[in-house]
Amino acid sequence: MKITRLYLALLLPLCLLLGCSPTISTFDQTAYAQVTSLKVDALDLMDKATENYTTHESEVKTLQLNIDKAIEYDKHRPHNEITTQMWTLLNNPEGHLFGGFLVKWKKDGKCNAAYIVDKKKQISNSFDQIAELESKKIKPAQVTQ
Amino acid sequence: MAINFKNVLATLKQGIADLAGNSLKEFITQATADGQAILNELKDDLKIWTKQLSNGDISKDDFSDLVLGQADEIKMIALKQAGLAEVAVDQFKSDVFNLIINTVVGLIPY
Repeated sequence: MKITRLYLALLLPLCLLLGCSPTISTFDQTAYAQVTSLKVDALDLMDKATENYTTHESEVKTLQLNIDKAIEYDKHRPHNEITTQMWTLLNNPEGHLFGGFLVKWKKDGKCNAAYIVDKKKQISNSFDQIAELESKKIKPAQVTQ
Repeated sequence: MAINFKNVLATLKQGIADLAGNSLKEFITQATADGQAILNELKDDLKIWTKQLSNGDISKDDFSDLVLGQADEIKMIALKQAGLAEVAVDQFKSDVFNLIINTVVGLIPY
C-alpha cells in the first residue's frame, strides 16, 4: 500500500501540472481597483464635455495616461488577452467608446448634453464589463496547484 | 485492503457529471440573462435616440456615434462572456482535480 500511496503522491501533482494550466488569468485586486477607479474618473470628465475641450485638455491627457498605464499592467499579466482586448476596444480612438468620445469632443469642441448622458451609459457599461470579468476570475487562493 | 478501482471510477464519473451539469447551468443562465438585457437595452435606447434626434437634442453625428457605440458595447459584452467561459473551464478543471484527489486519496488505506 505504501508503494501505491507513493505512486499516487507522485502522479497527482504531475497530473495537476499538466492539466491545470490556467486558461485565463486569476483575479487581480490591483487591476480591479484600477478599472473601477478609472471608470469614475472617465464619467466625471465626460460631464465636463459640454464645455470647450481646450479648457480640459490637461485633464484628458492625465486620464489618458492613467488608462494607458492600466492597459500596460493588464497586458503583462499571463493569460489576460481577453481583458487586454476589452481595454483596447474601450480606448480605441477610432472606435465609439471612451477613446472615440475623446476624439469627438476634441473635434467638435464641445458636446450636446443629451449626447453625453447617452454616451456615459455606454461607457459606464463598458467599464463594468471589464470589472465584472475581473471580479469573476478565480481567486489565486482557490487555484489547485 | 485492495482498492476497488471500479467503484472509484464510478464515483468519479458521477462526480464529474454533477460538476459539469452545475457549471454549465450557471454559465448558461448568466449568459442568457445578459443577452436578454442587451436586447431590451438596444430597443429602448434606439427609441430614445430617434426622439432626441428629431427634437434636435442630439446631432446626426451624435446619433451615428451612439449606434456604433452600441455595437462596440455589444462586442465588450461578448468578450466578457468569452472570458467568463474560460473562467468556467478553469473552475471546472480545478473542481475535477480536487474531486480526483479527495476521492482517490481518501480511499487509500494507511
